[in-house]
Amino acid sequence: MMLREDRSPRRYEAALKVRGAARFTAEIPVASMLHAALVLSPLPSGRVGRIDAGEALALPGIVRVLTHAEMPRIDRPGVLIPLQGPDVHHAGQPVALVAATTPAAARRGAASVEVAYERRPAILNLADGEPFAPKTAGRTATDSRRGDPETALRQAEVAIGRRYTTATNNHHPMEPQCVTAQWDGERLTVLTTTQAVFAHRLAIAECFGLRPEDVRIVSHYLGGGFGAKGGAWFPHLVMAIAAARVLGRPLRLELTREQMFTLTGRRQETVQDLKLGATKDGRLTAIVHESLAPTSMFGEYADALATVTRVLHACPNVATRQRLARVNAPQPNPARAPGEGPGSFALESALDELAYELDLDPLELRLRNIAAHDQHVDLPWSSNGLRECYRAGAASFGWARRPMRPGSLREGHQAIGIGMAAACYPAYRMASEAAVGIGADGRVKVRCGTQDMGSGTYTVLAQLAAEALGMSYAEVDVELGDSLLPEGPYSGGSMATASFTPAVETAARDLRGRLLALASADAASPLAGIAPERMSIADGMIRSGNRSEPVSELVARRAPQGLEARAGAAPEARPDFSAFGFGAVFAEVRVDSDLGEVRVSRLTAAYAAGRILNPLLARSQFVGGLIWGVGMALHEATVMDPHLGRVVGTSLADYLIPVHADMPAFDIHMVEEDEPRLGSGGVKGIGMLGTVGTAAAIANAVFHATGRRVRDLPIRVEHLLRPD
Amino acid sequence: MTAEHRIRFLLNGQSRETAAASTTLLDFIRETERLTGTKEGCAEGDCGACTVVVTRVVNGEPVLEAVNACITLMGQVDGRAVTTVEGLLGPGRAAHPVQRLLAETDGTQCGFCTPGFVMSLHAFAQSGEAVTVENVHEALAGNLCRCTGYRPIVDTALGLAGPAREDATASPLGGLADSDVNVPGWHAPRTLADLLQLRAERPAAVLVAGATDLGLGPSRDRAPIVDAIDVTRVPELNDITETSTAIEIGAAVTYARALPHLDRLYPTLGTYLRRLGSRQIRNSGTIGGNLGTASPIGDSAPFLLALDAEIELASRAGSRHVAIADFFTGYRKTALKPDDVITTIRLPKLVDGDLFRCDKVSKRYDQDISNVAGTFRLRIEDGRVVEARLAYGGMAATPKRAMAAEACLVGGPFDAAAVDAAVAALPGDLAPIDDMRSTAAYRMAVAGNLLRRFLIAGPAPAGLEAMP
Repeated sequence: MMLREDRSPRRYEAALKVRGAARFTAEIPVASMLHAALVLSPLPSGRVGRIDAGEALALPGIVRVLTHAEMPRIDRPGVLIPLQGPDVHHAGQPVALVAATTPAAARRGAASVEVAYERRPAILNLADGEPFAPKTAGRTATDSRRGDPETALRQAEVAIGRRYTTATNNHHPMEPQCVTAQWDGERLTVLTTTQAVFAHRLAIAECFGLRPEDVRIVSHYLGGGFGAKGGAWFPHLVMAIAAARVLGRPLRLELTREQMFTLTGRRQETVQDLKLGATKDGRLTAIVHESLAPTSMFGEYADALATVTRVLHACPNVATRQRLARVNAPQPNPARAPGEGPGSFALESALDELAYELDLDPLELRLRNIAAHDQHVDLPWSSNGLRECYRAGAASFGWARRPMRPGSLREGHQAIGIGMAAACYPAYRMASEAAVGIGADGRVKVRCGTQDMGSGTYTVLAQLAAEALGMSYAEVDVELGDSLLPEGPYSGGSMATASFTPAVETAARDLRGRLLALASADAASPLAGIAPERMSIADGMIRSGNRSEPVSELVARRAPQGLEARAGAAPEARPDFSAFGFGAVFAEVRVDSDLGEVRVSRLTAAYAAGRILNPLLARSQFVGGLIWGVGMALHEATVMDPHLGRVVGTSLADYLIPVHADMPAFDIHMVEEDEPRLGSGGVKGIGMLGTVGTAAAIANAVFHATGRRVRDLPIRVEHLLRPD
Repeated sequence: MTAEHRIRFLLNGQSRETAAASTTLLDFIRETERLTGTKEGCAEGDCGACTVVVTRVVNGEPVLEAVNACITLMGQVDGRAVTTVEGLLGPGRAAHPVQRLLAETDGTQCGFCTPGFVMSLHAFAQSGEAVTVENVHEALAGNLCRCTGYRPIVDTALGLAGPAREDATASPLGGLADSDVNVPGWHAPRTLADLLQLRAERPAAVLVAGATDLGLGPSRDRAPIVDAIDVTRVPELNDITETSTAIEIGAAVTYARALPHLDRLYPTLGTYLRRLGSRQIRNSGTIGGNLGTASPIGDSAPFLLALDAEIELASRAGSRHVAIADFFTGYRKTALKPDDVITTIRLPKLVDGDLFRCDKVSKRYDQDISNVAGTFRLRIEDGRVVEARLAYGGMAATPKRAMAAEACLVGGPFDAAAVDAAVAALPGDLAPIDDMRSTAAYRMAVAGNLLRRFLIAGPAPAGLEAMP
């Protein structure tokens, strides 16, 4: 069905943001606050020796220099809270914190602190680490096995085995991380850039031995997150809170752009081996997907690289195996489409290679392998719109006109190529509460302690309440980003909307029922005595037949303090179905034959991701996801010095995120699905899906343009101009 | 030059004064004025989240330019009007048309980069430029966004067709003028004689033009500039003069001001320069400043070398001319003596029969440091090449001419055989390296291919064909 973007409510907080009036974390003043700056280790491994803060302390405005010797001990296994001990595990690790009366003074003070180190041996490259099996890969099992893939590979009519690699990426939300910590006895207020108000409240309470209700976390506006403002930010948040406690004054720490390369997590690099077996007519008979990625010396994190491999295409014999190796580098963590992004690059590139082995159209190969059910967990799909995505995307893109032979399309000195890939992402959910209320002024208020990192949470919260109540969108106010509110979900894993939607809708329907009952029972109402089920609410009016009353008048008369309904929703413990969003991406690239420069000229994508609440904002989310795929394919790489273990080039001039002129023409199709079985109100989540498959579609298009198969991301100009 | 003259300027129409000359404009706006709409995203002039519009009067006309507030120093805004995102609001805090359109197209998501985009769009709307996709890309190249994929923002810009210029009021500066700033740590002489005097008296002082490089210290490291001489208020350094044989560009002329002249005189150079930095950077940065900091990766050196530019240096002892080839003496080292000031850059004009082309190869289209940059100029008389200048950036430790390759081209016709010989000679001229941006082998291959393209395509607009 067609979704109308033009009728979508506009972004709730857009008017504030375009005026520069949305107040981000670093802009909320706190009385008598100090400012922090960090002293960082230049060594990837070692032990902090003498720290000489004499020169720094003599500078104007410096209040104190804190090292591990002055900080309280915090017991939190698995994460590296800085300033807890003298050991250095990665270059860029904080070893001292300078507190000053202004940010500038703190920055200058940090530059004046002298630190002596004892250097220790370091493992700087993934190849030098010792592989081990992590406990989990993201939210999934590390290894999987169905059928007998080794035998199936040996017996396959056609088999390929290829190695793919992807680079380390940094999230780089435009807003750097910030925290302002304020202690009041045993009560704590933390203003911070967080994707997880409630998860951070609980974890911080545990770190400091506080009751969760004595910790308040506030995050009203987030300048992007993409994973960088969740668990990876947490250790530094804790460091700043501990420092504020020692200082006895509120403290603000703002990270610099340079620090965002090392202190806020990273998408781990990967080495992936993909083996595919198939029949001559293109039925997959075996998939083996083995991967290796780095983790830090102190934490364990593995992206779910194999999720897509396990479920996307039908195949009876599949084995996946994910390994980590420890290196002296910053802790990796989820970045937009963690695992599914890089993992799908390997799988969907390999599918393209198989298609050329078979001399079969790459789309046709995929159409012959649509999975009728989720073979990984052996459950039926809640729905699977992949076939419709293939059809809609291919038709709009003009795939049918594509010549099979690489190097067939040229325009001047440009080689033109088109390629495609499929995508899927799990429909995750977590428990959420929400409250919907109405005041005597007739304004509706939605309260939910989730946060909006630019994905549209304010908007859909308002929209859901308005629609369920029968009020207009403009009459709804939203409060989020505060742990004083009803407990809302984490913003990540494309799960926030799916989690709060049923809670908001239940609360709004409950409130609606109470309003109607109130009208029915109120002698002063024109609707007195009418059964609630015979009433309706639309445009702020309760109606039945020719009788009506504005909701605001009823509330003002009967509940002058206002009414509020609160509800919770939690995912099914053991669903009897498997829920994924699906998609198909089609890319056109132009490659300069003399220079190797690659530009993506067109991206068409079709997505089947359950119920779409707001087509305008959903399109923005899909396009945003696709851009991350373009960046992963062509631009983004955090380069580590193989000898020093430091990031090479720590600015946005060195780390290339796509600019305007790199953007293709986007053509987005949304296949709306009816999902009555999903307890999420039919919502599947959309933020990650656009980043899945996109890099493979671009690399496949580059192959089609040039005949060169690039298996290492990002695709570099020299890949395409090397001598044969 | 004794009495203190504080920096005077307008902020959103209100008059302001300060003596903190090397504080960044962004710190002044956010910390002193508590106007927090303008954001700090990188503190290095890379992301554009801090973009504000600076208005100055040129020949009686207000000129509005987008600049990065993070690397603009307070001394630079003396006598100017600064507008922030808050300053665009109308009576009753009514949104400006640019702001309304951006909200309507869903051009804001997380909203952190949004005020910077608003200001770049505002400057673009007020510039009177044609509203084309190419111009929009160029106007917005200095603003990074991680959420939207840019398309809704481009749509907003395209919706600005036919700008009304309603903000360009008759007297935006309210009678404010350059005030011969003289505060501790910052001097802004108004005459060349005063500049040379100051330079001689203060050999340790840094000369500031656009501060796009020097501003990094006060911005990223919050390290103040102790002693600065602002050269941009000296009229002679702001002149652009043309004779029948050359164009002379004052050292304090910004890239933005020089661009239309260079675009007209040298085919493909305009396109090349539009990919140098971003519009915010070009609105502040100067060729003179780029020469003065002697950055080894500066994109201006190749075309200056190919055109055989001449640098005029002045001191109290007089002025002298140095050929561009003799100006760079080593890594970050130049022929400048302690009391020297760069006054003008003289570029010979092309003559009939000259062939000229600039090219730049980078991974990202805009605002990216070149993997390889090449500029070529050939003088052809009677069908034969009489002079060849092939200058490359990114191919050696310093921008360099490929003289052996040049020799292969001179004396005969400019044809495939000559180019083949020249390409074969390039490895003797150039010594590219492997680094994070590219490999030596790729750079060498591209250096040759750029030369081949010069033959095939001639002086066609470089780069534009790769646009979507």
